[in-house]
Amino acid sequence: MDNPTGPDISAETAPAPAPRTGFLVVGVGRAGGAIAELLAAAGLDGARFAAVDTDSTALGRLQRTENTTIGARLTRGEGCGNDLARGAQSAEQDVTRLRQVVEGVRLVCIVAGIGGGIGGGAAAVLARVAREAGSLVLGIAVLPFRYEGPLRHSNASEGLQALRAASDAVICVPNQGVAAMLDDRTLVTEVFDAANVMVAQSVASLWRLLHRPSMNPLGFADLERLLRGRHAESVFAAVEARGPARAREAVEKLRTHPFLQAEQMLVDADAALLAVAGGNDLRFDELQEVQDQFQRLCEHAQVVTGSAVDPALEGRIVVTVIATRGGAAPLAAPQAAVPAQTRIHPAPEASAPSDEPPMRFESLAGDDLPSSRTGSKFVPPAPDLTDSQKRDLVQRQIKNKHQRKKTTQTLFNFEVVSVSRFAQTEPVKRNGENLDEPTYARRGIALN
Amino acid sequence: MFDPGQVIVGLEIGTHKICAAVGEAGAKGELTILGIGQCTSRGVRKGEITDTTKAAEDVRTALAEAEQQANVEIQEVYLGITGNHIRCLDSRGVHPIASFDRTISPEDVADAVGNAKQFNCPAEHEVIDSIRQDYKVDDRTGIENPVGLVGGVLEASVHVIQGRTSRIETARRVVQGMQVAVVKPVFNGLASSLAVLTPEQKQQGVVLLDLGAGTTEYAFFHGGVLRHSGVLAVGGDHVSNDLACGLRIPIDQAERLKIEHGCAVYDPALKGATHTIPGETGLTPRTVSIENLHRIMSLRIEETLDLVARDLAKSDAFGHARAGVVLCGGGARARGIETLVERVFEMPVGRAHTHNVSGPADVLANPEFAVAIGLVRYGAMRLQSRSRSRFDLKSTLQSLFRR
Repeated sequence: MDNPTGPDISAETAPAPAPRTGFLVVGVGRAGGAIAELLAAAGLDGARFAAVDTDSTALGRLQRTENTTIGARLTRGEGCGNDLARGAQSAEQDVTRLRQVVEGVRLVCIVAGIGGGIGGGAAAVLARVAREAGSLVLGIAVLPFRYEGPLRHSNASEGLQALRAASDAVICVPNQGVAAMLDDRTLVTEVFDAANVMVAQSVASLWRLLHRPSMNPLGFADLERLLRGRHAESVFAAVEARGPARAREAVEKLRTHPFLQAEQMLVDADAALLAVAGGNDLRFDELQEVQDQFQRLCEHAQVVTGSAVDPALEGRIVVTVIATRGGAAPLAAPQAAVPAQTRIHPAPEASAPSDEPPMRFESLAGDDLPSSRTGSKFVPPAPDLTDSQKRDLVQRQIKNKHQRKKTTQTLFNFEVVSVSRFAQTEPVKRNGENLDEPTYARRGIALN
Repeated sequence: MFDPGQVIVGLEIGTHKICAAVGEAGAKGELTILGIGQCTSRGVRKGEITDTTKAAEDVRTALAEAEQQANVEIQEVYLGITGNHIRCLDSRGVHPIASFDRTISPEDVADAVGNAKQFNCPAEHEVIDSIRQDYKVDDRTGIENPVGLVGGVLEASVHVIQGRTSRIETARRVVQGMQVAVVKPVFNGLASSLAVLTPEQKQQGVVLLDLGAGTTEYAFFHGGVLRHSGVLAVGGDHVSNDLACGLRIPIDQAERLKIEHGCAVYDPALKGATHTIPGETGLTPRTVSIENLHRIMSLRIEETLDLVARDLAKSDAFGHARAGVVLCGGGARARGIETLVERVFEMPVGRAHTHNVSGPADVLANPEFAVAIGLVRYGAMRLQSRSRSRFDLKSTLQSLFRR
């Protein structure tokens, strides 16, 4: 490392702190870092914040996050210049350091401006590392503005694909949606600030959604179920309303929310997650009204609803929506999508579940979270090996441990549906199901 | 004036069959069916035309048969429309009573109804029918005829049936292609309710369920007014397709098996029962499980009914339909269907009979002809209302449906 700046050293010399926290927000790249900083300033209960970048000067500006500079040998503390490969390489160079960042965390939320070189390239690597360390990984990909040009857009789609393959779930936040909301005379700096604030609010509400004690809880499992396999388009929106007509107002805000593309997203959605939270004064009819109105908005979607009461929200109602749309391209399980050489795992003691103190997550959200993945028995190759050497090492280990092969076997996607007779027609969809497919097949009833 | 002897033709381009009914209306509104022409339909899926050439051939055959039976020349038809694109919704229109004595005049009523028809219709949709429901004067609801009442604000509610213009136009073009004019497209669910529901039933509250081959239409009446209607593009064809998939047999065999051995309710006592399909043209005989046959069928029909029931529940049909459910369409012939409908809807169930119609007994007793006969009745009512008020054509048309 050539010119390490102050905050970097402090972060590196003090690796992942001993007490485990349930939630870690990592901002990757400049945009990700800014959002992580915003969140850190807001202070989420029981969450840690970190930032990862190749650009050490940019990192130096972040005061409240644990900063990690990566790829110093490659970029010499500069940015990646919108080069995805460069971003990915920088991250690969410092895999060990990244592992220290995510070590022992239950849920890692990776926030990245996916159009940039670091966001697009390094986020996927970080996601992979976090998964290997036994964490659940939620990616939040901030899509670039339209004016940012075709390069960043193609970067974004490529980076998004990589991030999806490496994470448990990915949510997209289109920046262009923010632009639609602002008036014409807004300054550039304000636009970026507004976009960052928007994303930060979304992440905060997502955290609350997963974290808050609730009547019908929504957990990571719900989120994962909603997002898995639906590799089309998922968006996210959180609105807040107060006053006597707050339920109606909240729905109205949802309909005009920039991320939902003026409710078009909801109309097209084929699955949606709706979380309603309010103070102790949350009334049942409000809950019901929001649910009814929402169901009406997205009549074709399968809606999962959760509700929660948080005394801090007295007098307010917060509605969080995650909607996905588009052809649910059935993909193999994400584990299989990770290339072979990435199966580099830390020693098993990295996540020994027995002696860890009970986490807040569990005590509050109950059984929402699936248990952490146990660490692999693989011995990680030294980080300074070349890619091909690493692959060889891993291959040799696989040969030695035959039972490991089983994990790479993907589930056969059991989809023997026949709509042949109706193939030429527009499918009839209700509640996210294609009614042209036989009922018994959709219900999974076996015919003996 | 209204010519009682005028011939009215209803044409239904259905998924399983195309049916043309020729009738004439008497002076008191009674119908006489003169002839029925029908033809197996090939170019229609889920109530919408997918192959215009085949559909046109079949329509021609059906119309020719009807012409021959009734001994008339068909020049214009009322065309039945259905399909997934149909949307039914309620719309309200408000009109302040501005006159000095605040008495509601017929013009106020027309204005309120006009306002109710001003609603957001998607660009690619067109309104097929808008049917008056009832009026509200200030806070009094459920008024049938507000003329002469005194009040400040008049609110009219209208049930609007709309469909995608392109689909309606496709059907219309097919008919026009054989030099037959389309007087008006009519929603099938509305047409069949006109044919089979009696005024008493509509007053008490009744649900009409038309179980067609491609689609399932439903309409709910209460207080003599159409409260809700809709269509689910799932029907008997789906049952056959499910059977073909589940039992691994060709679709035509599945269709036959459904009619001969099908049952809408699953009886666990039938466990192990089998049926052998005789081999034909070189195929080896196959044995299928009757248990599975009934199970696949009942799952599909129950799901369909469930979806319909859920939609009807939104308009509170279950609290008000005291006359129960009336079944028509080919699905009404299915064994055990009444038991299943009764179980899902928790209401008395009956099969449809056309009312106030004379004609060949076999035609009238057949639940599959309800739509075609209903289209003839629609035409008769339209003509009658035209003759009654030649100067105000539109306004009184819809009020007829309350009868």
